[in-house]
Amino acid sequence: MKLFRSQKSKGVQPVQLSRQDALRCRPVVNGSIRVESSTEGDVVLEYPLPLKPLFLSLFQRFQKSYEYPTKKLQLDEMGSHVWQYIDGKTSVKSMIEDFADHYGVTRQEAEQSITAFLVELGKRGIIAMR
Amino acid sequence: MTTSPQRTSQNISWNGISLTVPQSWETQVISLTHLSFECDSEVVLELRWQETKSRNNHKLITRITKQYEERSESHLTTATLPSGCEVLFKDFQVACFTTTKQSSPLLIVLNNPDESFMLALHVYARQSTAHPLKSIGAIGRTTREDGLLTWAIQDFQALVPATYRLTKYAMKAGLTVLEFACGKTMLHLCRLSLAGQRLERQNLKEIFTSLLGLENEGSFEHLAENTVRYQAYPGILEQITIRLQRKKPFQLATFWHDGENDRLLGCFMQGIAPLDQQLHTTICKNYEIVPLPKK
Repeated sequence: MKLFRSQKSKGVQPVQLSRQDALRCRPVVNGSIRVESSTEGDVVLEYPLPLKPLFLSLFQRFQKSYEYPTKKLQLDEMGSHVWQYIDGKTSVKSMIEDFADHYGVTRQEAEQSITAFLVELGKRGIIAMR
Repeated sequence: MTTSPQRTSQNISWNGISLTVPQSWETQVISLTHLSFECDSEVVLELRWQETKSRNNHKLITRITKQYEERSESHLTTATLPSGCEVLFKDFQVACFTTTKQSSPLLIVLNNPDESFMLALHVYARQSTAHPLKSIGAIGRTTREDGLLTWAIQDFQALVPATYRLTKYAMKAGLTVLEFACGKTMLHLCRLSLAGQRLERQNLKEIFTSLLGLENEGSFEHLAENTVRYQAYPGILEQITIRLQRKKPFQLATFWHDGENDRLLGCFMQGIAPLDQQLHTTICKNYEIVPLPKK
């Protein structure tokens, strides 16, 4: 008998989207994100750090005035351009098409750039897909 | 280094295969011998091909259909080509398969025993768009011009000697690199998009020096305002040192800025023997951007 069995995750399994469904998704900005503008006109995002409860309780114990830890992310010119599409209404597909037209790149290049950018923002909890 | 006018259809020539598809289709390179065509973000056609050894390819056709059946979880039956499509595959022995007897073919296997070559087409017919087979031109092997093979995909085209084999490719965001090999000689064709923004931060020489990992043993010269040439022809002792480091001592590269299409293009050759300057010039001359139409 095994003493330590690997526990199967009981939570909600992530939905496997088809490419078509993924392109139809509309990115939405997390409500707790603070958007600022840098001196060069680029977008600066201040987002809460996704901390695990253990680290958060440790942080709270050693922090005198409680303020949730945040991090700033400055987008470059292209990132700032794409950021303006993230309004909860524009689909990923139209973002790709607009990006390809605006920068004169191929559809494949635009798709790779946009998806990589959205994945990065998603990992940081800045956006979600609807 | 010239640009061609815009067209309504696009010629695709990739790794020995050529066909004409509507300009509205997007070409995605899946692998060296696998292309996927999309219309309005939906796959309409997939092409896979391979060289075959024997003239009788029944076993191979059976394997292709079995793989298709396993993937699509359906049973294939033989079908006939839609009328008018015979012209497209006149150089091939055609075998068509579909899931139901009434519908048009979903899998077409083309066999050319004379050239030991087999091609499989996956057709994704949709009611909303025209049948993919009615939109494409004849499929065939890439034509050769004086020993040079045409490579044309997405928004660029080039002529590369038929002896050079594509070994690697990378189609990343903003950077495309095709790597060819002919014996110990390597040829890299690079394409960088958003040239204007890149040139604001770095000059042409710096961009390609960091991209290709060029070392400073060679010399740079400005051929024109937007063109830089790099060449490294080291002395015999230096050649030995470089060879001991398992590097290729002879290098020849030309980089230029296509301002009209906002692209940086580069042709980089390296080898263990002195390189053919004439060939390098010919490749550079025929490596160009074909502008994409705005949708």
